[in-house]
Amino acid sequence: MAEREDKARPEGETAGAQTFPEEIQPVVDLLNKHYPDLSPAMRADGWLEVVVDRQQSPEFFRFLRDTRGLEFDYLSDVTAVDYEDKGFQVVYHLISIGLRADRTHRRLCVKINVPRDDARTPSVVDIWPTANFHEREVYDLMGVVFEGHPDLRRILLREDWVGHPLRKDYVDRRPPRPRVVEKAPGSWR
Amino acid sequence: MYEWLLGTGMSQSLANIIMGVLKSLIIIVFLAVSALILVLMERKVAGRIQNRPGPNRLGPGGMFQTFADAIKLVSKEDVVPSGADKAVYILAPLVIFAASVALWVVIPFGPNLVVQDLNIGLIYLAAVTGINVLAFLMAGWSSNNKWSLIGSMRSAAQLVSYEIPLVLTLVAVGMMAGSLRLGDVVAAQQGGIQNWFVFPQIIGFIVFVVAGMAEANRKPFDLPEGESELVAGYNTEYSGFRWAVFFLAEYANLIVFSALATTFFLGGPSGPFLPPIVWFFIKTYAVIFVTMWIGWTLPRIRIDHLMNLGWYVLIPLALINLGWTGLYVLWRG
Amino acid sequence: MAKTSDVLGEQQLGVPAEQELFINMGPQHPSTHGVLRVLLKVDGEVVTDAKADIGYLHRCFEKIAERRTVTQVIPYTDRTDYLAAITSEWAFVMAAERLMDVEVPERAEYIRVIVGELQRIASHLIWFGTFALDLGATTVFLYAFREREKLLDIFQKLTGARMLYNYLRIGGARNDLYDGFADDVRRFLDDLEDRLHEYHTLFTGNRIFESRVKGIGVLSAEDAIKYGASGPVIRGSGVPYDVRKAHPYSVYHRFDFGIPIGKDGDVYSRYLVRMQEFYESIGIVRQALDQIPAGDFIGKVPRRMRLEGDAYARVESPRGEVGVYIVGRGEENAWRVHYRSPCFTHLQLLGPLGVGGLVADMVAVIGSIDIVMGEVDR
Repeated sequence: MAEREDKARPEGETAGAQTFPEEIQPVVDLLNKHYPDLSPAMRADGWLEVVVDRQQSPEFFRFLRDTRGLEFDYLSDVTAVDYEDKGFQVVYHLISIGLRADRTHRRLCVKINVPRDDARTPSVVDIWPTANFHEREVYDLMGVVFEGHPDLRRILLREDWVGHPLRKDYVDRRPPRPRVVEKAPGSWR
Repeated sequence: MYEWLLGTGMSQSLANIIMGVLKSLIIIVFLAVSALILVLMERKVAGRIQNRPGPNRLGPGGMFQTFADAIKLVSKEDVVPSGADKAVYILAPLVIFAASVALWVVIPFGPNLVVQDLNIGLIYLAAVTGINVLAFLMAGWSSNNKWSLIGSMRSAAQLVSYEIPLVLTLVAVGMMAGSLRLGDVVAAQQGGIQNWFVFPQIIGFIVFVVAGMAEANRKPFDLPEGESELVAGYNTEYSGFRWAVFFLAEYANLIVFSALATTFFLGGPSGPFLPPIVWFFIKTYAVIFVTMWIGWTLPRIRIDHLMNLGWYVLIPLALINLGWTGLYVLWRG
Repeated sequence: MAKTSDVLGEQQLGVPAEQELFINMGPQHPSTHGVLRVLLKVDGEVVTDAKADIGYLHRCFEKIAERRTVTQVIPYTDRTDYLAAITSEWAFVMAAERLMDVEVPERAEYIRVIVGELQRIASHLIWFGTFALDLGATTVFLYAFREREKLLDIFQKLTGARMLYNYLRIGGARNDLYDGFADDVRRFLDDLEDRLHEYHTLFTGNRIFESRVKGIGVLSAEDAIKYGASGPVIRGSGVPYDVRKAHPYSVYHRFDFGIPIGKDGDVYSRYLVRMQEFYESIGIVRQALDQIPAGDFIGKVPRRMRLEGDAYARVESPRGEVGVYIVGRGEENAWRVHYRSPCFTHLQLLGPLGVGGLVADMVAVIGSIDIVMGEVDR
C-alpha cells in the first residue's frame, strides 16, 4: 500500500545538513545548483520551503516556472503574515501539475520577507495570472503593495475603506454611526 | 335576447349597444374565471410533474389559492419606479389585456355562441395578435431598467418572428375551409373525427402549437421573462395589481391559442353526447395541459436558437404544410 | 444624470462604446448563486467585457480565527463553503493536525472519508439543481432537492445538523457513526443510482440543453493551469489534477476510484465531469463502508493545543482545491489562518470565459463554475 505523502518529517536532523525524502531531493539539487545561498528546508506538513529576497524574486519565480525538472506552473495560494516587528512575510505555495495524473507533483513554498515600513514586493501576475485576485486580497487586508500588478485595488472591502484590517496593529477608526430613533407616524407610543 | 330587447320597443342601435356591452362583459368574466382556474391548474400540474402536491392548503385541493393571491396582489402598494415614463408604464398592462380580450371576439364556443362571427375572422386574428408586441415594448421601455429593456427587445424579436409561421398555418386552414370566417371553419369539420383538420394538416397543427407557445411566452419560450436570467424581464418593475394584469394576460393568451388550436384543427365545439360547448372546453383544456406538460419538462431555449427555430425550421414547415394542404384540397375536388 | 452604478461600471470596465450597454448583474440576481456582482458590457446580447465584483459576504473569518482556539474556529470554517461544510472543516482540521503532529486513528479517517464523499454528493446535487434551474428546467431542481433531503436526514441523525455540521475535531470526529448508519447510507446510494439514470434521461440528452452548453465557455488546459483553476473546472479542460490522487491525504490511497476528465473544456464537459463524480463518490463510500475498522473515532490530543510553526493542508472539495494555511507562535490561538478558496480563484475566469458569448451564456458559465459566495468572501 502506498504511503501518505503528508507525513514527511525528515528522519533525524544533523546541524546544517538536512536529509530530504527522495522525491524532493532532485528539486533541492536543482535549487542548490542555481541558487546556492538559499537553504531549502522541509516543513512539518511535507512542503519544501525556501526564503527568498524580494529583489531576486521575479527572476527566481521565472526560474521556478520555466526550468525543466521544476516546472512549477500552478500557483495554489498567495498570502501574507504579519510578524509585527519582523515585518510581513508573503507566502507563495507552488505546485507542478503538468498533465500528469500520478503522484509526481512537486510542491514548494516560497517566502519573502518584507519590512514593515516598506511593504512592497514585485507582483507575479505576469508569471501566474491566477495571482491577480490573490494579490489584491493581500493588498486589501494586509496592505502589501505588489509592484507591477495591473489592477491593484481593494477586492473584499469597500473601495473607500481606510486601513488594512488583518494587520496586528489595526484599529477600527470608523466613527460610530449615530443611532436615530424615529417615531412611526400614527404609532401608539 | 336581442329579439326580446327589440320587443320592448327600444331602437335597434340601442339594442345593439346593450348586446355588445353584455357580450363583452361575458367575455371578460369568462376570461377572469378561466385565468383563475388556469393559474391553479398550472401550479398543480407543475407540482405533480415535480413530484410535489402543489397548493393544497386553501380550500379542498387548493381551490381558493388563486383568490388569496388575487386579494394579496390587489392590496399591494402601487409603485411606479422613479424615472419611469409614467403614462406608458400605466398603459402597458391595459394594452396587453385589451389585446387578449379582443382575440375572443371571433372564437366560437358553440353553434350560436360567438360574440361576433366576422367574415374576415382569420385576418382579424392575425392582426390583433400583433398588438402584443406593442404592449411588451411599452412595458420594457417605460420601466427605466436595462434588464426590462433587454427583456422587451427579446420579446419583440420573438413575437414578430413567430407571427409568420402562425399566419401561414392560418392561411392553410382558411384554404381547407374555403372561407375566412371561423364559423365556416368549424362547420367544415363537422360530422365526425375524420373531418378534423388535424389529420391532413398534422404538420400545421404542430407548427401552430409551437408558434402559439412562443406567442404566449410559455416555457420553453419564456425568454422575455426568463426568470433566472433577467430577473423577470419586462415584468421586473411591475408589482401588485399591474403585475397581476400581465400575469392574467399571459394566461388569457395561453387559453386563446389553445382555443384557436381547437377551433382550427380539433373540430371546435363538436362531439357526441355532450353539448358542444362542453366539448370545446374539454379539447381546449387538453391542449393547455399538453402545453404545460412540455413547458415544465424542457429547459429554456436561447435567443439565437429561438430565432433559428422560428425562421429556419417553422417557416419552411409551415410552407410545406401550405403546399400539401393545397394539393389535398385540389385532390378532394 | 449618471447613475452611481454606471459610474462605477465605467471606472472598472471603461466607457462603453456607441452600441454598448453597461449592465450590472447585480448582487441580487436569481442566477448568481449568492451575492455576486458581475459587471457586464453588452453589445445587444453579446457580452464584450465581464468582471466580478465581490466582498458582499465578507465576514472577517480570518481575523476572527486569530482570537479563537483551534476547536472554536471549526464552526466558522463550516460557514465558508456552506454547501460542502465537511471539506472546509477537513482542510482546517488537517492543517492543525499537521502542525501539532496529532495522529488520527484509522476509524476516524474512514469516517471522515465517508462523510466527506457524502458531502460531495450533497453539494453536487445542489449544483445540479441550480444549474438546471438557471437554464430554465425547474423540474430538475425539485428532483435534485428531493434526493438531497434524504441525505440531509442521514446527516442530521449523525451530526445533529442538516447543513453546518461542526462535526470534525482535531484528531477525529465529534462522535462515532450511529447504529444503522451503514444501512441507511447503502439504501440511499442504491436509490441515488436509479435517480441519476433518471436525470440523465431527463436532462443530459435533451437537445435544448445541449445547444445551451456545448461549446460555451471553453477553457483550454494551459489557461486552466495558468488561472489556477482546480476541481471540476480544471478537470473539465482535460488536466487530470485531483488532490486526492496528486497528494493523497487521509486514507484515499486505499480506495479504487477514477477521476473523470472532460475533453473540450466547455460547460458541457464540466457538467459531465460532475455527473460522473457522483458515481465515483458512490463507489468510494461503498468501499469505505466495507473496509471501515473498529476503533476510536478520535485520537489522543493534548489538553492544551499549542500551535508552533506553519502548515498548509489541501483537500479536494466539490468545488476544487481548498487550502488552509495556519501559522502558530506557541499559543492556543493561531497567529494567522488563511483559507484558500477555489471559487475565489475561479471568479477570475468570468472575463475570459464569458466574453464573446450571450448574456444567457454568462449564466451557464457561472453555473458551471459552481460558485458559493461564502467561501469567496469568507
